[in-house]
Amino acid sequence: MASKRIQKELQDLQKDPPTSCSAGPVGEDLFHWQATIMGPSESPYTGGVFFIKIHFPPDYPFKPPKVNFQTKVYHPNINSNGSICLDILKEQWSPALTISKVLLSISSLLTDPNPDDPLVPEIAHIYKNQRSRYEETARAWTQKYAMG
Amino acid sequence: MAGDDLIELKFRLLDGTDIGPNKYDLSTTVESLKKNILNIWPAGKEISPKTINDLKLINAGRVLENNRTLAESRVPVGDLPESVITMHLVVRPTSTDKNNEKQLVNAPKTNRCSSCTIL
Repeated sequence: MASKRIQKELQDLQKDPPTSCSAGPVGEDLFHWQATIMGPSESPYTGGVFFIKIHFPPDYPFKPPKVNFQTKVYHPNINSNGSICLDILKEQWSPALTISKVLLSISSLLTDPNPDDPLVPEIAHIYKNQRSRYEETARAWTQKYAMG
Repeated sequence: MAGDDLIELKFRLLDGTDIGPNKYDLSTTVESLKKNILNIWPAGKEISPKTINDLKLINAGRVLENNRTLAESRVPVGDLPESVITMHLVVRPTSTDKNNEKQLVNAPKTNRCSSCTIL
């Protein structure tokens, strides 16, 4: 069941992926994927390519995939381990969601951080009170870690 | 040339437009694929890469390496679609000009500060 569904998502992504995201299996294990998100143009992450690891649980799509950033990102909802604070990856997960939709949600999270539910309170604080300092640091990290 | 050895590819750019589809031999290297992309680059685009170093090809979440062939760069598992495969094409931003601008903007600022200190 899970593998059939993952196959289908892979086919769709190979045929017609979203403009800003790419994803597929790392090796021969269909449950272990890697993905890239291109930094949204209207954000300080523009120009960067961000790598992400995806693990599908055996009971996917009834349980959400585990999704982690591999690239360092300066963002209120992404911590230094690459963990992402996003409701649809937790309690708001629905089997109707796909990896494509998850990646697009992460992409919108890059454009619009959610500082009221932060994973890194310090960055959330700077985002709220010193917006230009946040943008400057996010841009510097993008240049340093995501433009190689 | 047998039909099995060909792969049909489209390249999706960040502005949402596509280049292709075109058919390529599976033994084509990523490097020569990039050269071909430069040759067929559509006129009138805002961005125009100069060398293959300006291009990054991404398939299935992976950046493709220049010395690999297309056969080696394909997704290793699963039934692939019979139809066209869409890869992502990222053009490296030419940031040198912008950096210079930034430095110019920063320079007068420092001057202003030091003159403040003198006053």
